[in-house]
Amino acid sequence: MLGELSPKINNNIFYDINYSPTLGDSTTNFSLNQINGTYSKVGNFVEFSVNCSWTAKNGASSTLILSLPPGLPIKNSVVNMAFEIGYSRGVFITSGYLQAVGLPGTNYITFESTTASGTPSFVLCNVCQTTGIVQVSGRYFI
Amino acid sequence: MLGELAPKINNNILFPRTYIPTIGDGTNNFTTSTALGFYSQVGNKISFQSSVVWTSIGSSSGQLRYLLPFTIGPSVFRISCSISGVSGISITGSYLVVNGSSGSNFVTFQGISSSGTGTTVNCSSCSASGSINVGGDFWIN
Repeated sequence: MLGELSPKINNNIFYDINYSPTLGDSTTNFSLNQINGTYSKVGNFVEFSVNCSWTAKNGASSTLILSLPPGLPIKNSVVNMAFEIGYSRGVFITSGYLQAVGLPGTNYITFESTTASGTPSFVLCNVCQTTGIVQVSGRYFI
Repeated sequence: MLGELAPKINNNILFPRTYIPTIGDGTNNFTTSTALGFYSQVGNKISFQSSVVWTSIGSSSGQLRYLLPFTIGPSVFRISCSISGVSGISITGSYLVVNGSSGSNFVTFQGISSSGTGTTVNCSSCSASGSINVGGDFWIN
């Protein structure tokens, strides 16, 4: 049954749409010199890819957030989203490994580091370097 | 434009569904306070996002396994998944990766060292409480 539907999806449904993501904290955005965001939406399902490089933090200091496609917040449920980080530079973490998470009801990505012993913490703008780049892709439900 | 498409998609094409992910050793699962996943299927492709919060690892002891909504297809060698919100999983190495094999309906976890050595994560490496979000795409045929 699903196999019969595939041609319809390929021919009529998927759309590649560009948007301009923002990066910073909830009140102050970084200055960006590469701003690339693309997404496709099929019903309640969104797939996206973002590339941002920044040249100044402009005083942003609290939790680092990267915007998702406009008007398409993550489904307001108990499920947090896990996204892929393809490349990053300048996103400083003290230890452990970096992850990109989408919280229910929000329209942005936050970043977390988890230590090898399993303790997580959010990445803050004030520990990011003055310049850097981050590339994130993923999928989520709205 | 997107708004115009949504009703067609919802009626005819997209299949947003929920499933209940489990985490444990495959026989003995952790006790969870939150366990919910969403997936869509288009043809043989499954896209999913899921989240668990556990409050006890119970008697789980073997390899740490996380349930997928379907079994990974025979034509797929291995899949990798994205993770976030990780807490309560201790690893040997620098970072955590998640992957699954053809014919399995679960993914497993490895800690990767800076030199590239992988060490399987067992349930005994998990704290009494913790959380993880797992998402990704895979094919079922």
